[in-house]
Amino acid sequence: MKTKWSWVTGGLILGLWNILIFLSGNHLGTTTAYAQTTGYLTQFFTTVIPVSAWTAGTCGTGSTLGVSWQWYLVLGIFLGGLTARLLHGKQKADSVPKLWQERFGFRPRLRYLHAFAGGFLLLFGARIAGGYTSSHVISGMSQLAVSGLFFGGAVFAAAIPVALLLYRKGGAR
Amino acid sequence: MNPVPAIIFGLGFGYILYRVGALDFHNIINTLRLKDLTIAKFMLFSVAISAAGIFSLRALGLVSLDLIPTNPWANLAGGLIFGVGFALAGYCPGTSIGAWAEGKKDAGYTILGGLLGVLVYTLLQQSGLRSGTNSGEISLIDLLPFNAFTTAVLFSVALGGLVYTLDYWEEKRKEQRNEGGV
Repeated sequence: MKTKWSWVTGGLILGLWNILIFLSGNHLGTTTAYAQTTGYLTQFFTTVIPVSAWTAGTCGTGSTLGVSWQWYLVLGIFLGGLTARLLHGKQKADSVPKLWQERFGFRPRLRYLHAFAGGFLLLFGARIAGGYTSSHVISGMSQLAVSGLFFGGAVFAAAIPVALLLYRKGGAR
Repeated sequence: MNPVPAIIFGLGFGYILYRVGALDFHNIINTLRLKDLTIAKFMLFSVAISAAGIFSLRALGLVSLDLIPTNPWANLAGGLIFGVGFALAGYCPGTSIGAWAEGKKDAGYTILGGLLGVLVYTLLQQSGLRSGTNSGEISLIDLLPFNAFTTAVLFSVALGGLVYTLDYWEEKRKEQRNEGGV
């Protein structure tokens, strides 16, 4: 496949990109944007939960529930995915990933349930840990943060056995 | 705040993730199943490059560090929960956004699940859930008897070595499998 970069090229470019982001005085991370979005939506119905509960923690803390640096970053990631698809995408994306289908069959609703439950655990875990892949690993580990090393180790310690168990029948593709 | 740099940084990040295949369920899951370590090598290599670059710039006084506080139990417990979600979803919070933009419907459900996850966490936290003790912002540079720059270079080299070892091991395994097939 021509459109695909090797891990060497991709890693080098992401590394340099990350250095540029640091130079601009910011850090990669998206959990704060999730928290701000949820906080913003919740605030519409009730103000029982103080604003600080949503904005506290993770990297790059803003004290308001407004559209922050991270929120724009997330918007950018969305636009990046869209751009790449327009430039390089050939066909419509599968609604159910092939590997998943081999194991569980073509059951979109069950796949969506898995994806939803997975997303729940991702952000629930990330909020406990204070960040996630981009903030703990890409920016955290790049600063040799002990928190990032703990987090990264724990993620793989859990994810590898669960993935092996969940998709043990799927072929390698 | 000027939103333009943030949007451009995000756009580049999303584009890189797409080009290397990190937005794809199969590549994530096959890394976790230890079938194809492309994504792991990509991530670790980018960290090795970043660490060397960031600490070089820091030595010149151009950047400052901003660490997430270390809270061993919270970092570990959160990581374990995150890991289960990672294997189940096949996306992480950032890649789900790019994958959704790419037209993958299941990634949209991961985002929705994520918003609910934040809500439930915040409700529990408001009702008094506390996890572990915060030991402050700790970096390996504070723990090792070298200066920051040296520590970072050693870390980058060690990480580079790890990536090289993973790659070597993978190539060797591929060769063996091919020989077995013939």
